[in-house]
Parts: sequence; C-alpha cells; structure tokens
Amino acid sequence: MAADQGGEALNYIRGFDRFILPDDTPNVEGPNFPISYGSASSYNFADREGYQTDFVDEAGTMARIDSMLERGTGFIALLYTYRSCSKSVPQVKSQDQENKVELYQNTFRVLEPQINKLKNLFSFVNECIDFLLEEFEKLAADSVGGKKSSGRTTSSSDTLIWKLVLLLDLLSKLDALKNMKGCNNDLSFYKRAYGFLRKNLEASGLTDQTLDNQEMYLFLANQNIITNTLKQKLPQVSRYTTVLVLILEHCLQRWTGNLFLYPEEKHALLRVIPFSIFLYDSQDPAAPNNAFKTKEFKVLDYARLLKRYPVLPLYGDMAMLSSSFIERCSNFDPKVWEKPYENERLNIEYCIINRLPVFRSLHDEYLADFSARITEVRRILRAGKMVSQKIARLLYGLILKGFRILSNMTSAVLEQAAWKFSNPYGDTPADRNPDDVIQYERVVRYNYDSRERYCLVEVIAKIKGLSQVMLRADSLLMEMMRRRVHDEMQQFVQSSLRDLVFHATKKKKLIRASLMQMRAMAADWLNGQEPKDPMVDGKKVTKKNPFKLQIPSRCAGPSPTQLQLLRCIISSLYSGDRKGKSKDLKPDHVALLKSFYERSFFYSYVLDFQGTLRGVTDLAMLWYREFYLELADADQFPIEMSLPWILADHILQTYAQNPAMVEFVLYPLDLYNDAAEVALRTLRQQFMYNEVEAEVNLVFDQLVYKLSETYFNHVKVQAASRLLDQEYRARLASTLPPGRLDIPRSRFEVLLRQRHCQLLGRSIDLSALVSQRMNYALRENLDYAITKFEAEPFSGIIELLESIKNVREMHRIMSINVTLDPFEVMLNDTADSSSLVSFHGRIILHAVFELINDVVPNMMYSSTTERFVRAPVQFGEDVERVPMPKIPPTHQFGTRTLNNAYATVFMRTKSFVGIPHFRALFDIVGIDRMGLVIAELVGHIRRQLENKAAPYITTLLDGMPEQTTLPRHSYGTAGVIGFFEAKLDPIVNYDGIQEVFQAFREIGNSLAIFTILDSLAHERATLGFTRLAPFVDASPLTNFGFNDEHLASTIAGIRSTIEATINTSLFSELPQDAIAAVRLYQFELNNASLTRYVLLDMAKGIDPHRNEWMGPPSENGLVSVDTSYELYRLWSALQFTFCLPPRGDAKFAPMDIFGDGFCFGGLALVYLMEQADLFNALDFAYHALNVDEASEAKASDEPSRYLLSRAAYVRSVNDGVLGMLRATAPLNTKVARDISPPADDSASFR
Amino acid sequence: MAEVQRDWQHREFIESVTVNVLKIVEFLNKFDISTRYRLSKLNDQLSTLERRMDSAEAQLSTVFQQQQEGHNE
Repeated sequence: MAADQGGEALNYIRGFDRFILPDDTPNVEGPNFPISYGSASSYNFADREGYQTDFVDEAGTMARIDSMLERGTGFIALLYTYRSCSKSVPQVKSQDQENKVELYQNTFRVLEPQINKLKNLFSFVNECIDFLLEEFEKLAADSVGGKKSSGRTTSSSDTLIWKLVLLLDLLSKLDALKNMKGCNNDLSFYKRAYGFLRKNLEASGLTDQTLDNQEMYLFLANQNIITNTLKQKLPQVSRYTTVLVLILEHCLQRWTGNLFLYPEEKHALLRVIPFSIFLYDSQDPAAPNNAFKTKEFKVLDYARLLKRYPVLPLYGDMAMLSSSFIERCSNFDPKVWEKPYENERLNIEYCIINRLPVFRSLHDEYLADFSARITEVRRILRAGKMVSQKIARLLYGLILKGFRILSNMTSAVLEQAAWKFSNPYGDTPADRNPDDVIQYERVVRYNYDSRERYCLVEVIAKIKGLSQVMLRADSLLMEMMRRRVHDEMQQFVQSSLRDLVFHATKKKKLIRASLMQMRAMAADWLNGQEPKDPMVDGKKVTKKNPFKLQIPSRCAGPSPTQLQLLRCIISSLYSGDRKGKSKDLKPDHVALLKSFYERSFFYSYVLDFQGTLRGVTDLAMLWYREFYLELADADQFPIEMSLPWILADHILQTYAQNPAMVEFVLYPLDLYNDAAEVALRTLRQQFMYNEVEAEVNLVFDQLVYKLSETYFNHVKVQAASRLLDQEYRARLASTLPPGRLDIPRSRFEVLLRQRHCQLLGRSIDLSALVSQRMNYALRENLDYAITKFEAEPFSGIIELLESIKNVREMHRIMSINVTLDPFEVMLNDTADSSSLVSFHGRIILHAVFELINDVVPNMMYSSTTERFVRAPVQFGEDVERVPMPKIPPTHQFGTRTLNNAYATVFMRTKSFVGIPHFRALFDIVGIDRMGLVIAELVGHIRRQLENKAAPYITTLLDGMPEQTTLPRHSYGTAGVIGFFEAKLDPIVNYDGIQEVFQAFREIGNSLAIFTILDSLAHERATLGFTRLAPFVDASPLTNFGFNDEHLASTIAGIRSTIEATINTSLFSELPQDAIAAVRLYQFELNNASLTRYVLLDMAKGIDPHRNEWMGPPSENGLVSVDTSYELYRLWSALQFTFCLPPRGDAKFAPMDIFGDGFCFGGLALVYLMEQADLFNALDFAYHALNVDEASEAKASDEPSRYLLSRAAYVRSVNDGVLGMLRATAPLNTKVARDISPPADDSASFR
Repeated sequence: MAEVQRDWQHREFIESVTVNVLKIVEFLNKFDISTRYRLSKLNDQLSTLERRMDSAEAQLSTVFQQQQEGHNE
C-alpha cells in the first residue's frame, strides 16, 4: 500500500518535467530562490555509539567541541553586534535628584539582561580554557607514551586537532571582539545601579554580585585577557608545547595539502598559526620553549607562509594583523621572523584586480565545462539511460573544482577587504573637509578606485552567477553524487582493503583489528550479509576457494559520524609514525590509505552541496561595519558609504564610459541578501536584519530612480543623435573630440527584462517599475517641451516639433524593452488635446495666441521671402507668456554637445516666422485640426475690418482732397511728388496715421498667413495624391480622372493574393472602403483654397460699407477721374504716405515698420471693392513712377529718389498680391461696354 | 552489525525522500518564477489598458460635457 503510494508520488514528481514553464528573463542575479530546502543533517556525533570503533570517546570529545563552537559563534555574534545600551540610559546627575531611585531601578532592569549575557560569555571563556587545558593534557600524554599512559586505545586523529584549531581561533576572535567593544560602559552603569540598589535586591533574594561584578569588570576592561589567560594557564600542562607543535604541524600540513575549502577555514588556519606560536613562546627567556630558537618546529616555515598574509580577515569589518601575536611574544626576534613582503608586492597580491584575468579565464572555462556536462547528463537521463560511472566521476571532480574556484574568488574578495581595512585612504577628496571624513569612508568609500570597483563587481558577479548555475543543478547532482560517494567508499572498504586485510591476517599484524573495524562500520554488503571472503581469512582466492565480490550501488552517502570515524581510523593507521603502526604497512598500502583519506576529506562538502555552495560564496561580511560604527560612535552609516550601493551606484554613474557593466548592477545588491541571511541565521539579531532591510529599501528606491534616469538619458542621447541631420552630424563631429556625437549602444535590455528580482525574499518586478517611470518621464518631457513653447514666441514651434520628434523616437526605442502607452495618447494627454468635441489643446491655443498677438500685430511680412520678421517698433501690446521653465539638460537633447548642436539648428529659424514654422505647426497639430487657427484668424480679420479699418476709412475719406487730378508729366517727377504731398497733407499728417497702417497690416498679415497655409495644404495634398496615384491608375502620362474601376481591380488583386494564403473574410469590404477613402481624398484634392474662403468672408464684411466706399456715381458715368471719394483713392493716398521717408523725429519709415502686410490688407479691400484696375491706373505713387520713367531727366533729389524706390517696390508687391487675389478669388468679369472717344479734346482741358 | 546494514537502507529511503522533496522545491521555484514572469506581463498589459481606459474615459467625458452644456443652453 505504502509502496504503491510512494510510486504514485514519484510518478507525479517525474511528471513535473512535462510542465512548460516559460520565463524569458535573463539571469543576472545571485542564487536566490523563493523556497530553499536544505538537506544537510548534522547529528553532532549522536550516533557514534552505533559504530563500534575505538574512536567513540574521541567522537564524544569532538561532539563537545562542536557544541562549544556553536555556542561560541553565538557569543561572537553577541559581541560583534553589541550596541552599548548605556548611551541611551539617562544618568543620575546629582545625589539629591528626586527620581534617583526610579532611575537606578530602571537602569538595573534594562541592563541586567545585557550584563547577564556578558557574564555568560565570561563563564563560557573560562569553560573553554579549562576544556583546552584538559585536552592538551590528554594529547600531551598520548604523544609521550601512546595508549598506555593516556589509557586510550588509539591516538587522536587529525579531525580532533582541527577542531582544536577552530576552538583556539574562536578564543582569539572573542578576545579581539571584546577589545573592540565598549561593553565596559554598560557594566559601569550596571555596577553603579547595583551598588545603589544592593540592599533592596538582596532583601528580595538576589545573591550578592559585587565580587562577580568586579571580576567581570577586570575581564572586560583588560585588553587581550582571553589569550593572555590561556597563555598563562597552559604551562600547567606538562609538555603542552608538543601539542602546540602538533597543531602547528597540522596547520602546515593542511595548508600544503590544500585540505580546506571554505574561506573561513583557510583564514582560521592562517590565524591560528601566529596564535599558536604566541602560546608556545615562553615568557621566560631562559626557558627552552623559545619559539624563535626552538628545534621542535621551524619557525621560519611559518614566517615564510605568513609573509604573503600579513593581514587576515577576522570577523565582519575587522582585520587581523598576523604580526600582532608574533610581536607579543617575549622572545620575538625580528632577525629570525621574516618581515612581510614590501607593500607594493602585497598590494599586487591582495588587490583582486591583478588576479582578475586568471579568475576570468578559470570561471569562463569552468562554466562552459560544467554547463556542457549538465546538458549531457540531462540528455542521458531524458533518454531513460543510466549515467555511467565515468561521467559521475568526472562530475564529482568538476563539482570540487567549482567549489575551489568559488572559494578562491570569495577569499580573495574578503582578503582584499581586510587589506583595505588596514590600509586606509590617506588623502582627502577635494570636496571634503578632512575632519569630516570618517574612518569608514577612508577604508571603503575612497579606498576602491574606479577600476577596483568594476573589478569587485565583476568578481562578485562571477561568484554569484556561477553558484546560481551550480545550484540549479542541485537535485540532478544530488542523486548522482550520493551514489558516487557511496560507490567509491564501498569500493575502498570492500575491495581495496581486501589486500590489506589479507596481508595483515597473514602476517598477523596489529592493524588487522582496525581494518576489520573499518569493514564492519562502513561496508554496505550486498543483501546486508557480509560475504565469506577467503582473503579475509588470509587465504588466496583459488578454484578451491572461489569468491566473486559484488558491491551494491546505492544512492545514499555515509552518515557524517560514519565518515568521520572511518577517516579517524585511516589517519591513525597511516600517519602513525608517532604511534608505531605504520611499519605494519607496505608503502603502497600507505599510499592507498592516504589517497582515500584525502579524497574522502571532500565527501562531506560534496554531500552538503547547497550548504557548501553557500559557504564558499558568502560575502555578507562586505556589508557589516559594526567595528567602524563603534569607532565613529554612529548608529548607522548613510548608503553612500555602504559598499553594495557604492558598487551599484558606480556602475550607473559611469554608464557612459562603461555601458557593458550595467548588466552586473543587480549582483552587488546580492550582498544584502547575504547580509540578511547572516543577520537572521548566524548573528540572530533582529535589529541587524531591520537595518539591512531599511538600507535595502532605500537603496532599491535609489537604484530604480537612478537606473530610470540613466536609461532615460541614454535613450535621449540615442534619439537625439539619430535624429540630427546626418550630414550636419558628420561635419560637426569632425570638429569635436572623437565620439561626442556617436550613437551610444544600449546594454539595458537584459536589465529591463528583469521581471522577478529576489531581494530579501521579496520578488521585485524591475521591468514594471522602470516602465512606470518611463511612462511618466516621457510625459514629463513632453510637458517640458510644450511649456517651453508656451514661454516662447511662435518661432519656438520648430524646437517644439524637434522635441516631440525626439520623444517619439525615444518612445519607439523604449517600446522594445518596456511597456509604454501609445505615443499619441501621451501627446494628447500632455497637450490637453484629447477632447473628442473640440480641437483645442495647449499647443494650438498657444499657436493661435502667438499668431494673433504677436505675429500679426508685431511683425513685418515680406512677400519675397514669405517670412515675417519682427518690426523695429512694436505697436501691439507686450505679449505676456508663461515663465520659461527650467528644463534639465536630460530633458532637452541629452548632452551639452547635442544641446549646442540643436541650438545652432534652431538659431536659423529663431529670428523669423515663415514656411518652416507653419509646416511644423501642420506636423504637430495635423492638417485636420487647424480649424481653430483658421477660425481665429478669420475672426481677427473681421474684427480689424469692422472695428479699426472701416471707421478709419470713413474718417480719412473725409480728409481726402476734393480734387486729385493726376498732374501732367511736364511738371517733372519732383513737381508731381510735391503736388501730391501738398494735396495729401491732411492724410500724411493725420495724427493717427500709424494706427491706420497697423489696422491694414493686421488684416494683411493675417491674409499672408492664409496664403502660406494654403501653399502648405497644397503641398500636403500633392504628397497625399502621389501616394494615392498608383491605386487610381494616375500617372503623368494617363489622362487623370478618378477611376474607380481600376482601384477596384487593384484591390481585388491584392485581396485574392491574400485570400490565397489566408482564408479570411475580413477583406470582403476592402474595395468599397478603399473607394470611399479615395472619394474623401478627391474632395480634399480639389478643395477650395483657404485664402479664397477668407476673401469671400471679407467680402461679406465689406458689404455694409460698399456704398460708402464706392463714392458717389461718377459724373461721366464711367470713372470719376478727378474726385477722390472712392476707397482706392484713399488707398492711393495711404500708400503714398506709406512710401514717404520718416517724418519728424521718427526713426523709421512706415514701410520699415509695417512691411508688406500693409499692402496685402489694403489691396485686398480695393480688390474686393472691384477697384483694382482703377487703382492701377490712377494711383498717385504709380503716377510719380510713370512720370519718372517717361521723363528723360530722372529725378535726382534725395526725397524723390527715396519715394520712387519705395513706390517701385510697393508696385511690385502689389502686382504679386493682385495676381494672387485674381487667381484665388476671381471676381465676376464685368461686361465690356462700348465707349466712343470724345469728339474733341475740350474735356481734357476743363 | 546488522544495524549498520539496516542504517544504509534507512538512509537510502531518507535520501530518496530528500531528493524528491528537493525536486518538488525546484519545481515550485521554477513555477513561482515562471508565474511571476507571466503575471508581470499580464500586469503590464492590464495597467496599459487601465491607462488607456482612463484616457478614453477622459475623452468621452468631453462629449458628455458638451451635451450637458448644450442642454443647459
């Protein structure tokens, strides 16, 4: 039943493979999974009795050391994270303070738990020292007389000595931590409170603590008390030095044999060497144990080893100088103890930047190798085959190699940090006051230069990335590795050992018992029964004694105790020089044992795959800074001083120089994951976790902010340089330092596709966060552009168009990586033009405002250039605009170079308003949304006509001379001009003449705008038509007429092609739709011009005045040649005035103020009054010109020449205007009348 | 002696359970990551739609406003 259920469950688990779980997120973060499952189990040798070996006692000792080490870790955490409470405890200031009792009571209550922890530490240290003395005693006895003297059956193993090494290391660490922390202050407060409350407390049953407290005080106040006490007490053990030598030798052996894996193990080893030498060295110079002269060990070997490691990581942000213990030795002899290498060499050794190339090639090669193997294994398993022994062996080696690579990189990083801690940055940054720079900044913030930061990030990324890849293969490898270890071990125990057993049995050697113990405790017999092997009985396998060994394969590693005990036995066998067993062994037997011993050293690491990976990649200590917090007397440092943020920030800050690094930006944040893990599991301090969490919250906000900013700026530069005119860009680039105008390449994609980053167990959707910000930033950018336009005259519309184009391009680029709203929606939202019922919006409103309030009243139109330029004298009111917004350069065109490049472009169109500006308006607003512009301009013309022009005309008509017969040619030019000036004096000197000009200019300028709009509309329509032409069979050669049939057949052709491949009915209505669309277009193509529409509207405006402006009917029934009551006469007078030079103290002539718009306005009225021909025939200025042209002696006086040149110009403008008017709004042709010439000349002399 | 042998068997059973629990955990992690990925995409689409709805609503409200104004007049 149960088996059935098990089988069913396994089937389900196998079924997981069938699920397709897509995840299109590139992997750029450390090994963090939502759920982690640790499978390592430590029984702390609880099952030691089950294996009947001689090492049961020793296993007991080791269990005890292990539990001490565990407790010790707790005390290390306690000391390291100790924050003095007394700082926040209020003090009793004077003896007669009222609340004195209450204060003391509360002080006592608050501090008691803290002090109790310290007291526990004190007793733990004493316990440890006593325990060490005890163990030293045993070991010393062992080394003298073997089992007889110690009463033990075997000698101690390597493992035990290693545990002692760890215990010594623990004590030295505790000592260093205690030195650093100011626990003493708390104790002083506590003592004072206790002293005051003593009687009360004793009365309530508490025992007297005074002595305890005094002892505690000495313990806490004295530096190095733990190590010194140990050193003082050790001589109580006779021959303790032999044990220390044993320990030193063990360290050296491990070091040379590479028998360590975790960085912490490596560093413990190196830390214990100087400590042991210190313990060895006698304080008495006469004693034989002078570490620097002794022959028991070669101190030089150790000195040489430590030359390379003068600085070692101790704990967190604390580094240890290996010389500190050595120099405390009484017999310290600098001549014997070699000094560390020179600082330059150490710098090269410690700074990982010099090892980066090696790390890189190791990592890359390994990653390729590992991935290939894993893929191979998966393929084999998918094919339902078994993974061969050979591959399993290869993989086992590969895993170990991976551990080693990771461990080397991690310890290099930690050692570099320690080196930096002990070699602070000496200078002061330019922007800082040397007194404000705290020590932690000198060792971290300023101590890593840019290259080192990059390097550190890269190594962290390699460590975390590789461990992630390895962890992902966990379940796959776990099964195989357990089987591999089992099989290798059984091979050794059941097969390799046979020869030894045979040899030992035959020669009746002592070691047989140990060998048989090994077989008994470690073998996994086939079917649980030990086979009858003749070799075990000392007989050879022959035909008579047949035997075939069969070793079962099993997916189960040895239990930790089993493995440990097996190794104990082996080590006691072969390293038995000091125990006399090894002479029982042949050299190849020693080699066999030794090789298995060394191989099995790594079994436990491989079996605890996950735990080991965590151990060799733990970089949490790069974050911790309790030591420096204590130094600086600070609660916490700001994030600018925190290494993870320094690294992440550096990548973003220097994105332009090194864009490829941006893919690594999440790796430094993984240090927070490590730090939080340590806070929760090792330090077990909630407040530490809270501090990590608080920093992460801050850092992540900053990261998203900076990342978004960098990304935005990057895309901005990309878009701006891409949109810059290519030829211009090339020429400009040749004048600038290289690379300034290059289009940068984007490396953000990987980061922007992160939809689930793991940070402190939370999953963060980076992509969504950045998208959100980009949606906002693009809108903000558009808003800046529009606000800038609103603060500028109409010529700013070119810049607005470029800005919008730029944002549109940015939108296009960004859309590849992030989800954005459609650009049109963004633009409409920002420009407030999303209304369905009106075409209003910020852009169009401001455009209209500018046209009517600035362009029309304040600018001069030139019909030659079709441009408006600002008049030297302003007539309209000052235009009030919104204040110019302060736009960050990132929201313009990205960089200073680009901003300048674009500014130069805009300069070209800043000083005038013309076709480019109106084209830009069309581009932005769209031709179909121009309604408001048109309506407002038409309205403006009507208003000018009604309110200004018409009343002035009425007034001025009154001032016209009764008679204005054109004077004869014979007067000469000057005479003619003089005649007009005299005749037109009331007009010329009319007070309000400037306002009259202004009214006509405004009408004329508005009309000029319409002509420009018209030409642009035609341009568009033509463009549209050229695009449409192929569909309606129009070409320059065919006689174009709308040909629905052709269109239908074209569409039908397309449709059938589509339908041949895709069966769809979607296209059935396509031909009809297309035809409808064409009709719509056709309408537009033949659309009447805007100008015509405006002129017709003006004509309606004129209607009420028509009679007045026609003047009285002429006496001759044709034309009143001599009187001047008609509009065109008045216009001639105004035009004449217009051509005159500046009068009085005026600086500018009217023509230089009002431009061609004046002519446009007046002439349009004259034309609409159907008086254009008369005007041409009888105009005053024209007459003067005609006279001058006809006469042989040209006028030479300055005023006449001035007037004539102006008049000539006006005539050419007028011709153009009239031509345009006739073309756009032809009037009804008048019926020709026959007029007989007069009978005689009498009429002309009247 | 037999204890040691039985221990091997027990451990094999425990290991087999452990390995399979690990496989379940791995699956759950993959599932979690994949689900988050898909939810994130969905969330993107939804928030874009939401914003478009907002903008459409704003557009539509201009029509109602005008109707209202027309009514009042």
